[in-house]
Amino acid sequence: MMKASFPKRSVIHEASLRFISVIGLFAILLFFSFSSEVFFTGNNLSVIATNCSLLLIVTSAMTLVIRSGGIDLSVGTAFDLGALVAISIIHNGGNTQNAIILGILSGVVIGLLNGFLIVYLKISPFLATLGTLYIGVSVQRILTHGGDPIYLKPSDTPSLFVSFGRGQFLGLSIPAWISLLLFALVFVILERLTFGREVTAFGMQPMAAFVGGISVKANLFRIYVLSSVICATAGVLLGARLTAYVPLSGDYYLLDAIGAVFIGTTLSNTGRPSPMGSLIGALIFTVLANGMNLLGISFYYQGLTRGLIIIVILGLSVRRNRSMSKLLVK
Amino acid sequence: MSIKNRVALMTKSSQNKESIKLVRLAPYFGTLMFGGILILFSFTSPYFLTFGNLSNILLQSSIVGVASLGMVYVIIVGGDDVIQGGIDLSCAAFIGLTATVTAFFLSRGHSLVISVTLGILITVFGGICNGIGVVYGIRPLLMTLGMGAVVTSADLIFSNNRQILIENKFFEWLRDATYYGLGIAVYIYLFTFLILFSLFHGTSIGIRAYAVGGNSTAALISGIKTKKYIFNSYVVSAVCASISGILILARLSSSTPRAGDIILLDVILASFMSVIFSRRFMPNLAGVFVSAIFIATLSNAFTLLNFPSYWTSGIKGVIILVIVATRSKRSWVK
Amino acid sequence: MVISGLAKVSEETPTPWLYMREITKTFPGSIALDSVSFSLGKGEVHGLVGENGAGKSTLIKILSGLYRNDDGAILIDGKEVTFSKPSDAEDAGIYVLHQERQLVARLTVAESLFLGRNESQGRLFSKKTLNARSKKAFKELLDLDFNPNSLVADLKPAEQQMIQLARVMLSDPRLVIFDEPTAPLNNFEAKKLFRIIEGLKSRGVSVIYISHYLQEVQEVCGRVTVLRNGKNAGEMDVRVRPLNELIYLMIGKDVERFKDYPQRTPVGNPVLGMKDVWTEQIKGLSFSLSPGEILGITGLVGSGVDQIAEVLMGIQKIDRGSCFHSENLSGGFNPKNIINSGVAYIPADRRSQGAILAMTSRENLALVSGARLGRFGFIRSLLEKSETHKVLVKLDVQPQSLKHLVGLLSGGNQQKVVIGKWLVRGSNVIIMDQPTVGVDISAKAEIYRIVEELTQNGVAVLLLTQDLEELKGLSDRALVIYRGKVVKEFERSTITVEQVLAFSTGASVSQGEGNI
Repeated sequence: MMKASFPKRSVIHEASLRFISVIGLFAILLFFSFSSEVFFTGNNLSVIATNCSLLLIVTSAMTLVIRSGGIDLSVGTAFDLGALVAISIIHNGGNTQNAIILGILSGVVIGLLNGFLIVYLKISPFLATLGTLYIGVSVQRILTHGGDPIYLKPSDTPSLFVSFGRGQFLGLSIPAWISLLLFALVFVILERLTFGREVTAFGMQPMAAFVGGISVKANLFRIYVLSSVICATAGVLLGARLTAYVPLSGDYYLLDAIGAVFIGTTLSNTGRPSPMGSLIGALIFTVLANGMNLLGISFYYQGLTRGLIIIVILGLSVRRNRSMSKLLVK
Repeated sequence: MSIKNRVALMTKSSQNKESIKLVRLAPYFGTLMFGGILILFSFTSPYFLTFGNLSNILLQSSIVGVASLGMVYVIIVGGDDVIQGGIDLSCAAFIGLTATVTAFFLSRGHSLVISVTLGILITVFGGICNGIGVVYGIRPLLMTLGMGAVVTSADLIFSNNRQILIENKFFEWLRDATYYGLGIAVYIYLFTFLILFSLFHGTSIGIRAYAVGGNSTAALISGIKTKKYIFNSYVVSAVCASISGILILARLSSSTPRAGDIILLDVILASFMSVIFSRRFMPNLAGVFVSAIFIATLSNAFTLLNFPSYWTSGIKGVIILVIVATRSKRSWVK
Repeated sequence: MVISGLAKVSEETPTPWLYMREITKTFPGSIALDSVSFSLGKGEVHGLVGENGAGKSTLIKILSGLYRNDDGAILIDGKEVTFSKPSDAEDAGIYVLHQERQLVARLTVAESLFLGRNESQGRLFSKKTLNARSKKAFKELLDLDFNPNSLVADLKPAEQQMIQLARVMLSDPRLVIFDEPTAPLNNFEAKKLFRIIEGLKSRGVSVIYISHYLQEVQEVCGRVTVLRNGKNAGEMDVRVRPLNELIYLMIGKDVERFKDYPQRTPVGNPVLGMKDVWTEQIKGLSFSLSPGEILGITGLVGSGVDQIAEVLMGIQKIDRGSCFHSENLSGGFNPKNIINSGVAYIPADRRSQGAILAMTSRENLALVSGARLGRFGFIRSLLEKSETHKVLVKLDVQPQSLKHLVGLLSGGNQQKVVIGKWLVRGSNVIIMDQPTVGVDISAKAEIYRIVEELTQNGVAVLLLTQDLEELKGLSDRALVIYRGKVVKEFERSTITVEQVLAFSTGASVSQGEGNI
């Protein structure tokens, strides 16, 4: 016999609160479709997909981490490290495969560092990854002797590498495809793998997970390494796109990724981070920027809209959180 | 499972006794470390201990310091679990906004008083919004994140993404004047600290603030209006950030868009570092005051040593990690 | 008037100023209190006893303003009052010393004492004054010495209790309710507490004393009201009547809930156990469990029983001694490895440790069976759904859907899911800690059925419980723990609830075993 006593609200009201983020996205899409003729063209949609790609990748990584009950402020660090390694390899005459693979793998270093701080030194994820962030900033400056970008001469750059960042396939850019791939990866991990379920359980009630035999240390390490590797991939993509390494460009995505993941939590019926929700969140930010661009609205207003969207969507979900509170364990 | 709580409390107190050796040193740990580093640096350069240099350090620390005083209050009241607890990520944006708005009105010929008042008021308004959102139930991390984005926008709109130069006697005075060798900014920092400190520790406000942050249910039961405290903390933080904004405007004689961005990390660092100066390992005002100075000392020492400034950030990161790791072993996994 | 049981009321009882008349309280699905009456005089120390679930805490919650009674009345000084929130009760001078933490760990003693009081609001003060005032207050109110600068977090539970009491005393209470105060205390601290209660009595403050430690009830209280199954079972004056009469009132007539079966003999070597284990609460405990038997262990809260499960699962550190099953483990002594070796653990705290509330029944049921139900790390949905559904049906979980969030199920169904996940996995040793707390009767019956079935199939079950009927009905052997040690072992044929109660409360220790 169910003991649940939800406040009496109509089904529609309940559903609309839950899908607030999707409704928001649709509203934005509709608005821009009507305000700009160019918006809903295949070309523009493809541009949106490309613009969204890096944010989506970082957001996917962030979804993993927040679902495990933590947070990763060093996503920018892994991002930049990936770019740095990839570009440096090409700059020094290496081939494309090495650049890409080693760039991606460089994320492992950051992930291991975070894992060590969090699991063995028992530092809270916020402060641990903050520390990594600080250290990463220094390391980048030191390695580049002050923070100068590294530019690749077009003649020296293998075209394969360039196409990694700028190529097209079936109407979508390669980065867009890669972002979808990584998104799908995170989706599968969280929703279809036992590992994902264990991590989710740990994120909700760490004690219950521990007592139920879920291995805490190994799982946490995996999550942080995964996150950093995924972000490093995004860095490599940016590097290929710009054919340059620009230090500290990864931090740009941090706050948006956090915002997107939390917007995404409104989609889940239990308020947990959800990959689909994060996708919606990332899309909301990207579409907003794109649409406002098309309408000629200066980029000054982007922060305004972004911030308001976060506040409004989360504010609306507060009422739902109250009724869900009996599912939360302090 | 109330008895379980009590048992857990029992085991916790015995664990605390194990780390008693470390804890006994605790209140001195921070000061020891600080003093030790000062001595170390004084050996490295003959200029280090000159009055001029020390005064410079204090001046450098004032902008970050004032903002950190506000930030630490938010953290005390909100609880120091960052994902759920109190934090004000819009601090940086507030600093920039105050500077911009003030400069904006000054450059349009309005009086000093009006310009400064508007600059501060608009930021306070932002703080009020933060307070409302958090009390309503939006997690501080996200509320202030969103607010920060909104305020940064406002900053850009006002300034049109350009520097606004100002020429004003008051601000020149603020920038250049010294009394007894110390710049005005230092006095403002000191003054703000003393006001907050005496309000906090001289009345029941401090104890209640710690109570709200430590166990808000117990605080509520004891009759403390927790929502009021939480709301107020965001307003205080905004006010402190606005003062920082005025100081930075004076320092640069102009407002720069997004001036506050670099400052945010230092503010967070100073706030969390403050725990090492507290017997209870809790964030605290006096600790923040000293931490901000410490951070400025680091940068200063590096400059004197001709150390490339790239190392500063990394050292800060290591410091934060070391501090947190040596806190009494309480796993964040509950 | 006061309902009396078997004993006559002692002449000394003062005229009651507080009278709870025929209080009734129902919750969906159960009647917590049925026409319960209770009276209290000035300066009287009145005991309130009864088994778990008898209704004591509900009665106190009504008296302290947390609940509203559905029927009946509360009369103070002859006038009827209604409490709609705790501060109403406090205004009437009624205060409860809860078991939960009402203190802020990071504050000092002095700060905690005066926290939130209006006189301290806004005024300028110095730390020295505060410390001096608090020292004075402790001395006056409780005749105690405290270092005002100590942090609450560093204090022992006994001391924290004193701070809470001092806070209450500052408000000049008429009634202080002590809810299981001596559970975390040692003998010495308990004696100190009794002296303080004597002090309260001499100031005319009334006390309601709730405890399972019947010896102490006898030492401290005069009249004692006994509740059983939500009703008055009787009232007696323990200064003049023996404890076994009290026990009899508490237990009443045995209700046969269990099938009668002869004692099972264990098959094979012990699979779980302790060898002379010492922890903070456990003082030299040894026992062993073999396949095919149910070993029941009981004891009061604080006797060490609460730590047994966590010690066996590697969560609670051992000061001395060891656990058997640690020898055959590959890897460290932690829950993960222990579970992998075939042990199942059903924790006492169902909501925070037993199940993941925000996950569905299916997810919870499959949570520990990832290796068995998955392939290459992937969840095999079809297999998982069918296996978990089987268990859901077998345990008769309602609603019988895999999609419901466990947090929204009733206590009984939640517990079935918690147990069910081990059925999906197929463990051969089960540690159950307080398995039927907050579980309704029919769910309890289901759970007992499953446990017996499992044992018949050779599973070893360790049952830690405070439900004495349950202990008697299920166990093949039963151990009673008192103050960290085994004080009595029962065979199935010789268990009686009265004896178990006597041993677990220490009553039999002083009265000698022959009396009961």
